[in-house]
Amino acid sequence: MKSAFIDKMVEWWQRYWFSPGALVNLAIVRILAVGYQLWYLLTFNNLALLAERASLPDNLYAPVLALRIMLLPFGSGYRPSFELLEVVFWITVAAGGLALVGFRTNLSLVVFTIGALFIQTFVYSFGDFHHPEAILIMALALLALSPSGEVLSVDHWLRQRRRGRRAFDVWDLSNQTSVLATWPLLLTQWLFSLIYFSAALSKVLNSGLDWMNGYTLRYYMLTATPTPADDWLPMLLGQNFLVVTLLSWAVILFEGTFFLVLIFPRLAWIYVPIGIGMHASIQLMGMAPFPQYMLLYSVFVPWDDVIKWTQTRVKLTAVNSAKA
Amino acid sequence: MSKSQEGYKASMNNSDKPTSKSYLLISLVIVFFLVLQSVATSRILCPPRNVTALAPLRVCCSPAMYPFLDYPMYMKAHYPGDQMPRIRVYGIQEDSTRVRIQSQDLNLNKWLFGKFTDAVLNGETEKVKIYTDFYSRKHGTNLVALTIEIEPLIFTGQELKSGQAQVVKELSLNQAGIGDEISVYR
Repeated sequence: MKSAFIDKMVEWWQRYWFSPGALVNLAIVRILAVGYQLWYLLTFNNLALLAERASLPDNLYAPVLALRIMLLPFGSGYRPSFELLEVVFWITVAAGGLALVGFRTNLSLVVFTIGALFIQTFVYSFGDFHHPEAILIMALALLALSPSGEVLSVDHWLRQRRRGRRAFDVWDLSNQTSVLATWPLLLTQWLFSLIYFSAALSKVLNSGLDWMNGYTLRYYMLTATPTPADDWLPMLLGQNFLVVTLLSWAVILFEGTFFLVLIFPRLAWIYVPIGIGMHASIQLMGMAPFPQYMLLYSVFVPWDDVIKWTQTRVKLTAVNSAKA
Repeated sequence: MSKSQEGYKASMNNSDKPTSKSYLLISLVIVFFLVLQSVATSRILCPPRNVTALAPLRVCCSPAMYPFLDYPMYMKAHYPGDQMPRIRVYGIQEDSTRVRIQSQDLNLNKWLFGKFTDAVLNGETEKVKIYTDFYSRKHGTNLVALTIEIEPLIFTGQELKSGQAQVVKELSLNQAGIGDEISVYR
């Protein structure tokens, strides 16, 4: 009986995480995630920032666990020099470029992810850390362990050439599936749910219903920007007390119930646009920006269906044009 | 679809039949991520400080498990009358000139600048000197004292109003006490 139960659980697990999924969904997320992280490296976590951090006093250096683990070969407590950081930076950028175009995709993704994690944890090893990058780094790790380079990649193009086949057929992309294409996207959706739940839990446990008193959200809107009087969005939203109170409830409900998309996937059509609106507004108001989240909502998009729909539209248009 | 395309599609879909070992390894990865993020979300290894009975569990607070974090931003409720302190740091130069010191003067972002202001407020002279030495090298001028003023922004419920600024700390930087202090700004 116990064995039958375990078999049932294993079967459920396999069905849930390893049902066939379109490879193009994974590939598009790979391109978006790697593309953004590369841009972020070259603009925010760039060499100038690393040089600044490298120049900070030793008493501020408190490496986080992930960095300590990566630096173990150098001895515990080792603090990387700027020269080492520079080498890591350029290797990471090079690996990111290869991962973006999909050459030796899994290997380049592994190197890129480790490099991005190294750089980010170094930046955050001086008593100051932030949250927006975390989920993207996790997503990169998942992509590195998946067939995210099977299509829309140089690897795919080279494979096709070796087999003497036509290099690229965009309409065929949506038909190429794998049982390993679902789990990274699904797991990222789980991470979103847990993260949003954490945010809701913190607010409710810390402040109870007072968080939704209207004053709280108004306070954060007003104090977020350097010159709150000059920013129209917080002023606009902050003026109507009822609107602010309703927005407060909306935030808690959104964060606290986001996990419902795991049970009812179609709810993503509601939650994702709301999430984009929420994060975009937050960014416009000068509060904590989470652009990575808006980008990673791509894990909810059925890109294969988008391709199929587009293919149908193109064919219809061609047929109509021929008739005309 | 042509026969060659069908064949390709079949080979594409059949070529990656994972082994049971692959399934197991990937399943372990899934469990690893879910468990760690759940631990971070629930804060079971970082209970609130005021719950002293759970203090032994406080072993893994963010960012220890980065990138697995909890997300407590904006968790505090606010009410009319709340104040947000705006901290201003001023340095006194050798010629008694008063200069405003901002985060960019020390090559710090606002959060790390907060550590500097904390050190000043706590009177940690040796720690403060590391920053002021950097300031001296960057600006070519020595500081002999620091002053911290707080100008509160008072939340009325409708808007923010500036409150009365007041000096909360004056710290003398004793030049003679440097000794074998080595400035570790690199």
